[in-house]
Amino acid sequence: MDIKTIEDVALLARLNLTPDEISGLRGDLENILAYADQLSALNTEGVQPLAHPGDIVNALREDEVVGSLDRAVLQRNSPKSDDGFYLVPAVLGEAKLTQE
Amino acid sequence: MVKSKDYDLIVGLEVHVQLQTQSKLFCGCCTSFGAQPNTQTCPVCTGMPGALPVLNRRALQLAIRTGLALNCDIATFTKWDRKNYFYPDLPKGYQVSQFDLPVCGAGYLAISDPSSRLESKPIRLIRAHLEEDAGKSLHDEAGGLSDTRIDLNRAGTPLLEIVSEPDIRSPLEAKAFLSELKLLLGYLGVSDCNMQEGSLRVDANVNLHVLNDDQLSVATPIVEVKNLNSFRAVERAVTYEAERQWKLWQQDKLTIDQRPKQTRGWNDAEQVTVPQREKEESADYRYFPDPDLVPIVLTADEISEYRADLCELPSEIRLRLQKDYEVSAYDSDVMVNQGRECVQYFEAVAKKTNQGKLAANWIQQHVLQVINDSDCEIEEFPVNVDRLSSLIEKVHAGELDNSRAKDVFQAMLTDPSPLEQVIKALGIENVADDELETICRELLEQNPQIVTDYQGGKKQAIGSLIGQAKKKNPNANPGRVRELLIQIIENT
Ligand SMILES: [Zn+2]
Repeated sequence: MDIKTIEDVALLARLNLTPDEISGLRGDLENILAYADQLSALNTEGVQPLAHPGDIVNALREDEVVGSLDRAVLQRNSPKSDDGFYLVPAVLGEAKLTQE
Repeated sequence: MVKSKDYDLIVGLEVHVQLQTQSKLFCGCCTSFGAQPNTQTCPVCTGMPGALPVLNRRALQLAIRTGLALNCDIATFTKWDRKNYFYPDLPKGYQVSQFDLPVCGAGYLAISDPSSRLESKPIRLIRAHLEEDAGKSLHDEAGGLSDTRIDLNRAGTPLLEIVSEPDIRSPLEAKAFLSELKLLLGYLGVSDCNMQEGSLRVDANVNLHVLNDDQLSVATPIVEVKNLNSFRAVERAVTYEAERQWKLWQQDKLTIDQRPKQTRGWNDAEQVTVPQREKEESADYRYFPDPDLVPIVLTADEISEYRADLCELPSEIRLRLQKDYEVSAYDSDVMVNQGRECVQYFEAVAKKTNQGKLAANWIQQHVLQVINDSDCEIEEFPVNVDRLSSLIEKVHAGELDNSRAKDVFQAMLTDPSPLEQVIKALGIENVADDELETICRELLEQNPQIVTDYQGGKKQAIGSLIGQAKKKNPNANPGRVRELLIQIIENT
């Protein structure tokens, strides 16, 4: 696995990795991939792709409003909130256009 | 505008429609617009660990209904996938969407081609899938506030994303497609399509087909213009992009495979598209099946039942009105495009009076004019079905001429009394035949030239006498006056 791939994955996961951490992770990730790769050894000819491991389908609920959770309770999970809003560090630039 | 000799404009649209449900797609939080921030959220739609989403039956039904009305193949097996990206208004770090097995497959929507008004052109659809909306980020650029404020009330609201093939060839066609789609969704009761409230949002994929130096047709790179939230914005952004891309092509001669798809935004204030900063990894959403949500299986019988339950669609009503009431294609189009309520109003009047054409004329020329100018709904229009019907009956019976009928109609807008009273209040009464005859004889004596002209074959010469008769008595019925004038001339 090359360094570039690890950097790409780290970016996707929003991880700021040092060069040391990247080289450590390289071995770990290669082990993980090799472990998962054992599955490729199986003969899957004629096996239907599985969309979900369970047997259940069509789990549906009626379109009814049930009470939401109290805002104050939920916002205890947030480091910063004000006037009912969650506050996050400014996301300007492209953000301005992707949301109204 | 599009100079067809220089290039062909190629447009595909992605339309996000908010489905009219009471509760969110995967939880019971209310979907109503305008509540206090973060008062319509729960552990499911704020992405708390361990929360279990369950699909809203109505959202699925509305998606299937829309798919059928759009002539889509409905999937007998459909599933849920996670589209992974980080953004503060997406609390789970992924959006639940449908990747490879959408609920609605290929279909089409016929639009009337704006260049030849009523000729139909199908715009093919690639697919339509269900997904959840994100929350809202409120950025404070002007105030210098460092934080962005997040409201998650909208997070988890059901959306249907409808994706067209690049079959649209002009800004006008783009607008026609959206108008027809909006109309259809309204008839289906699927969405209110309120663009101010973000119930309908559009992304446009735009590029050009041009001739290269070897006179071969090539495609220019695709540009996606995001988040257009009015039909006018779509029309203008597409027009702007066509011109911008044409200029760019003349300079750089880059083709579709020489440059990746770019994302731009529409700046409404400046009427330009502007490049959006690309997230480096934006193309990599790492879709995978959502293990928390089970697949949906639909039998062919169930799909047939949905099809049987479908209401009459605008395209069908347009044809039926022409057939059943002998109204013109144009009149039928105008009334259907006005909405279901207008069609019901028309049909009630047409049935009551047995005068489809006359009813269509009155609605098209008078009723809709008032309604569209005053922003009033047809259900609360002061001249209701019964009142318009009685007026039309009088016109048809020849008891009111057109210009007097218009006066009566105007008066009815503010005077709720019965028709007879409104007519009386305007001083309109039938003039007895002998009185009309006296007027006609007088006029003919005063205008011997007209009599001569008429007898010489210039039948239209008596037209001016009808006007004069109306001056002598405003209640004189022009039709009857004409009859009497002819009668008198021919019997002398
Ligand atoms: Zn919720």
